[in-house]
Amino acid sequence: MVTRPAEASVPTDNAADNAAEGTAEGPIQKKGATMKVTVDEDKCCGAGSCVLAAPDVFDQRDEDGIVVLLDAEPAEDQHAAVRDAAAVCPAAAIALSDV
Amino acid sequence: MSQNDPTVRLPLPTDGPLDPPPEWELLRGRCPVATVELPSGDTGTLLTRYDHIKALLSDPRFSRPAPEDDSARIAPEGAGGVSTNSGMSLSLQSNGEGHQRWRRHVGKYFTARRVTALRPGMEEMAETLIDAMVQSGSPADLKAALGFPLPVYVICNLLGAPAEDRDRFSYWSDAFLNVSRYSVAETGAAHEDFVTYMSELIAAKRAEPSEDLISTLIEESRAEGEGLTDLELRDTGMALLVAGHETTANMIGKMVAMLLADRTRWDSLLADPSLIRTAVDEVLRSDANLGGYGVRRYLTEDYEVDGAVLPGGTTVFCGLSAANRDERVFADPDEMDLTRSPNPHLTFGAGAHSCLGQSLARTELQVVLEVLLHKLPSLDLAVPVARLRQIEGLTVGGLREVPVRW
Repeated sequence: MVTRPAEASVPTDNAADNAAEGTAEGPIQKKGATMKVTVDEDKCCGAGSCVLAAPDVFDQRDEDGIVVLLDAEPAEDQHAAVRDAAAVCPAAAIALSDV
Repeated sequence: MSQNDPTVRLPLPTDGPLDPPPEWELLRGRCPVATVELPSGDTGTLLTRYDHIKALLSDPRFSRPAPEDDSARIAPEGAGGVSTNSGMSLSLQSNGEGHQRWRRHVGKYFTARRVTALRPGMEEMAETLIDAMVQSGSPADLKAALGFPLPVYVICNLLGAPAEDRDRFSYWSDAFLNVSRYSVAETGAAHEDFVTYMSELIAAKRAEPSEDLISTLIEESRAEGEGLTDLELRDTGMALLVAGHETTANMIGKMVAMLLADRTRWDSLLADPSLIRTAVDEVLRSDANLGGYGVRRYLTEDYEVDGAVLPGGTTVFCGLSAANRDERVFADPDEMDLTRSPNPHLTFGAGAHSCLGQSLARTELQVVLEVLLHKLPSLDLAVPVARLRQIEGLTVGGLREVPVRW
């Protein structure tokens, strides 16, 4: 069984959207749904959780480990991984919004 | 607030070795901001709800108690190790820009990409250790055979410290994390030996540098003039050596015990190894043996939580594992769901001080599980769960041994 944490635990701007769209298999993607990702370098603590969760969208700078956004508007097949990355970011440094 | 409630004493007792203390649920529900008494007799405040803890840990104003803070002591009679006794604190700056500078300087060695590059070496080491365990015969103590040596090899390789010294590291590390296992004299002597060892290691690296983290930090400090000071370098080495093996070693043992305690968990991973990634984070969330005191924050000014004001000078104990079972955040929190995703547990903390080595720890746990499932699919606990024994007297929690057969 797949469970989802309650809305309050998802530290992203679109927590309500997640909850509304969420199903046991993850969010239902509307056809052509787009997602805009922003990162806050000052908040970032360089833990690398986002890179482990969504390596095609996030990386870290070699010189200090701070997040590098590889793709600010990732394709739909990346959305679940990006939501995961945003939810598990220990510094709440990743924000998501619909375009 | 909790003035009228009976005082809670840390560490809280549990029914079974893998079970959460029953008080967690009561505290989250009725007394999320509780007054607690420590083994020293000092008192502090215990938080148990997810949102409260996440907010405090993410607040840049506060960090762990510094030597000059009049914080609650965990251990009685000054016996506490560095991790419990702020008087023996390391030189590393615990907050603000100084902390951020240190963090970014050292953090670059623990990025997901660097850690992923270490994966093949970890796999090879895990296979070698498991082969040796099999060679020595069933049953065996998985913690001694695999859980402890693997993270020691990994962090020693990374730092450039000789893994042969691991038994000494282990002792120093336990003393570092001491609450009541060792005497004042033992803890102090162990700390001195550890300091001497690390100073000599750094001197040796200075004379004969190689590719490792300590050599690189030395080189950077020389070249840029704004790297780490000698004292910071020494304390960074000590902190990484302790943090790099003790917690992961314990977690490997607990992970295997938790997954084998209900055989259907192990079987579902055998059937679908793609669950390993989410399973590891669910193990991290469900672990009820993270340590009896949680993560501390010293309030340098008044702080409002749950409609009450905690006065400046309060030492707050953040019950990370209690928060990981907060029913306000996690559906069916007491159920281990190996597919849970996302899993924003607080086992690595939150905010600017969240665990620097969490990608390394996650990767080590994933590798161990992967190799164990592949090499020893018939693995099972060799004793009933109730007979597993918890570690006592340290700030970190874990199991003393994990007897397995295959």
